[in-house]
Amino acid sequence: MKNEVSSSRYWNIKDCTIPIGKVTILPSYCKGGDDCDDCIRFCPENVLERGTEPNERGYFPPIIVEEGKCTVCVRCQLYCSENAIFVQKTGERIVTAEEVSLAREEN
Amino acid sequence: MDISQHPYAELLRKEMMPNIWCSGCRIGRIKNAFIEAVQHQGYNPDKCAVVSGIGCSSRIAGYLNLDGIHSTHGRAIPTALGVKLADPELMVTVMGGDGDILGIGGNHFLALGRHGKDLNIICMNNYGYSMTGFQHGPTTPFGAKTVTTSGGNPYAPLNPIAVALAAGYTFVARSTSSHPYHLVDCLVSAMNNKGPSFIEVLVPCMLFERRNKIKSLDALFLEKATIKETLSQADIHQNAFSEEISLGVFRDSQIPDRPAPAFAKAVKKKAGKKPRVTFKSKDSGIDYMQIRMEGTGGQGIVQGGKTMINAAMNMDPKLNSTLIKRYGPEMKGGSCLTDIVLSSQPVDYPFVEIPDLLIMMSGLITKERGGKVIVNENGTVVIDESTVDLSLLDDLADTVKIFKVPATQIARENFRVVVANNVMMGFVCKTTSIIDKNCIKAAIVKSAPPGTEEMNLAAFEKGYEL
Repeated sequence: MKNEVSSSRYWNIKDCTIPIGKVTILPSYCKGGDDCDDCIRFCPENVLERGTEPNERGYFPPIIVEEGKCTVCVRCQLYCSENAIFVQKTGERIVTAEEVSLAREEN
Repeated sequence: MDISQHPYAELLRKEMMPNIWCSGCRIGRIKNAFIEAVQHQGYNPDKCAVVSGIGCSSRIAGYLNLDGIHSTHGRAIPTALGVKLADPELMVTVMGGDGDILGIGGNHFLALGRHGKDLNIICMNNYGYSMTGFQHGPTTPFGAKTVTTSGGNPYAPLNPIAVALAAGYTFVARSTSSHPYHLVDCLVSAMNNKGPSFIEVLVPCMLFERRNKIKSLDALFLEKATIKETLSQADIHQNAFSEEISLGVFRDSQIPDRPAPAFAKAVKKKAGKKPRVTFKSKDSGIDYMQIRMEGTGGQGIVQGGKTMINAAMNMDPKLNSTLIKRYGPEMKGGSCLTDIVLSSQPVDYPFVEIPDLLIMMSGLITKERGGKVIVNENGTVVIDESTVDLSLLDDLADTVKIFKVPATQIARENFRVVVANNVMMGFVCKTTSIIDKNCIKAAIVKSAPPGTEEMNLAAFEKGYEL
């Protein structure tokens, strides 16, 4: 793509670090269900899962199952039509050797 | 935790959230992509404006914390054009649906390509009018079921990309709401483009899905659509959902340099020196006065009325005055009249009911009315002997003062017929002495066409000497 946009501002590729993020869900905004579930489907680290407690509108907002695995790709934030989920960067960590080898295998 | 911690919170109108869109509608993603693009570009939110029409997608303007206008159905583009002309530094974006931009506002969509102003049009194509229950629209695919085409749409759909390319848009792209990163990319390119930009965004509509028994349009877009670096002529066509959908930028060009039109040279008439007339303003003592000028078109009735009202304003700036001109479609030769109301109080009703001063330059209006001259019992009638049939005045009460002057004849003999109204004005000034002489002369100089002030003043003097 022509313009480098979106998650590039959270990432630091030069220093080989990966951001650590904190996911926040606003349950009262969510309209998730069979028609949506975008945040769950598109999360590459499978941080989220369909919840069991309905909100006041009768939808089932997602719950966080893998706390601390978020890498601030901000896909859930961009994909959510209702702005019911967002990610904040809390820190950084250095890429592990396993992750590098995994990435090489994938490529 | 609430929405104020959200990274988009600066550009979201928090009091309007959460939004009204259906579960599964992806219009909100386009809003997110727009916010990402604005943040990426680093625009000052005060320098962005969003204009929208009516429809589901037009709600975006309500949820964005930017200046905007929620205009009438289909008229988003002309409203945005007005915003852009008022402040060219603004980044103006039009958010609308296919029914808004291509259906009802289709003409404005074509016209913007000719105008060439830097507007970004984001057209969210959800294949119909979804806010009112999904009626068929200009982009409804052939054979699709909607409320108004329950047996399948018999009409061929419009291709927005082909129309935009033909209309002369300098940036034309297609994207879907299922590819938000591609959409952000397109939006940034559109914002950088200096001409009219058009992005067609395919959006799934839940109502359309259910009526046509499609499981998920979102998944269908992800399956069928391919993002291409270079697009050919064949990629413009997007035939329902059976074939591949090509996404990408169809055109990204600079706005062509348009040569300055030769015929638009500023025509400067040699304005001669205007004669100066000095006058003194004073308290006129007029409480309420109704003046009517009657005549036929071409005699300068409206011009005479303007002179009269300007003269009255010169004489007493505290006076309230209104002018109403009435003339039919015949223009020259038809009946024509000017109503002037002078009052010390604010004027509530600008039309003259019973004139105190009636200036008749033609009997045409009186004849149309049935041959009766309407004037106040203690009023004044000034008539043009050379054009008005004098028998019309037979029915008038004795208390009405009548003055006669052959104004048109004098004007034809000494000057030109067009200054007959000023001959009349001079005579009126002398006989009624309502308005000071110099005030009228100043008004004549002000309202006369350049180069003819001397002749008009001479005509006025001629009428005054009679």
